[in-house]
Amino acid sequence: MSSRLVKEYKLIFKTLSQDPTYSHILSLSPSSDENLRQWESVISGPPETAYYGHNFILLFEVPSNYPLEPPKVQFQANAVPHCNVDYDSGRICLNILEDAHWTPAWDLLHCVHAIWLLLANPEPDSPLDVDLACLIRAKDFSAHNTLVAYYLNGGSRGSK
Amino acid sequence: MYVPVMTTCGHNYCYDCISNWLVSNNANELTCPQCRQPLKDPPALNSALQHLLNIIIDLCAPGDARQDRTRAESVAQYKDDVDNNTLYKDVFNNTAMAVVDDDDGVARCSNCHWEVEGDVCPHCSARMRNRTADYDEEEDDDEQILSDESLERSNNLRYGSHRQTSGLLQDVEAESDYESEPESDIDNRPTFGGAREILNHINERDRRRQSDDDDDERDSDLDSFIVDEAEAEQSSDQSGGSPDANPRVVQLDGSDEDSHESHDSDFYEHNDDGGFASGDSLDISNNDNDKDNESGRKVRKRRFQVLDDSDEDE
Repeated sequence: MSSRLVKEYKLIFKTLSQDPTYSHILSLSPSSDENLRQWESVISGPPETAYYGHNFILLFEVPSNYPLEPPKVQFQANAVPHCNVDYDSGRICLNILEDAHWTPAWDLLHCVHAIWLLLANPEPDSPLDVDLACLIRAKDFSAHNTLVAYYLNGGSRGSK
Repeated sequence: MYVPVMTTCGHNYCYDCISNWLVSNNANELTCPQCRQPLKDPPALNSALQHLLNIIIDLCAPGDARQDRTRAESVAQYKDDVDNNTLYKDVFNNTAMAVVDDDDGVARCSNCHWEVEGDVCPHCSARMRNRTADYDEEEDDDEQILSDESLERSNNLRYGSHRQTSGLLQDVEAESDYESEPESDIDNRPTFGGAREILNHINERDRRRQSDDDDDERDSDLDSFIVDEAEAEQSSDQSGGSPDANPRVVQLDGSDEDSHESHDSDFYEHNDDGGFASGDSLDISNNDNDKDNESGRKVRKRRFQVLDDSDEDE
């Protein structure tokens, strides 16, 4: 297992430094040198979305029987307004990160890339943030984008 | 990778790794990690690849004692499993396929023939290798089933392909006066009378199902056929002029008056008012068309495609 993570780390390091298609992933590496199970990643907001110009931090927790089980990924809490992300906890609703849809053919780089794509393509039919999902369903994208931009620029969401 | 095995979809895995994967995700159907195709049959040893790998390993690390030992262990483990018939940690022996019964459209366990709902047989508690019901999250979309692909397939079925036809299909052929075959006799008629019930049933089942890919082959034939028929009724109602294109289709549709007259008395005997499928569904489809011209037009277009194809066949 840990040999797989070491292998993955090498591969990710090589891919990120060489492959321009992953230029939106600013970093992806273990949080500390001691613990290979905690990873951290920084991605930039996809262009032509309200998230553009902002960077987002992803926190990974790799289970002991990875890759048979998916890694647990979440955004930093209280940082990402998105209809498939729970704002308060940073939890992400993405089917490939569930046990039922995960396959060991994927690695951490796939996960980060998938989450980046999710930022650009919100899925309002499976929302964790109902307000934003409603706006998308109503096709009121300008309201959605404005609201997202408001939160991203430090607007308060109030307390629940 | 010392013992490479290849799945039926053509992907290679280390024997040990794929065994662990198949055992570990035991809440789900068995799938290929790379392409998600259900693994109906156990992966087989890819001896050509094994030979190649051995050459590469020997070239890269000649005389590495540790390497040789692990390789010998892996190969011995695989041979043991083959001898004891416990390949893939018995996962293929302990699981069953969900096979859909053509007569009633019910998925049954291939082990004990019990009706299956979910991923585990309620009778013999065998885990299902293919998925039967886990699609609540998928939106039920009729368009999905009406894909051109399935239309084509049902078209092949109807006009003389070599694939096995279901009892239901033969009934419809009899009704349409299209060269009734000996099998399409009285016994089968009641099945057709309840066609709409079956249709409802299957639609309900499809709600829990993803696509034809995951289904048993004969089941998907049944599905696409039935949907095709309902749709045929819609299309010819709407278009009016199109039936001339192929007389056989007219009769299938049940929209032509003559087709009703052409039934022998037998037909009415075995299709009482409640179960008279073609009449019932005709009314319903009329209403549907009033409400939804858009979809009707789409459907008609597809129907034309089917007609073209069938002309080619002849």
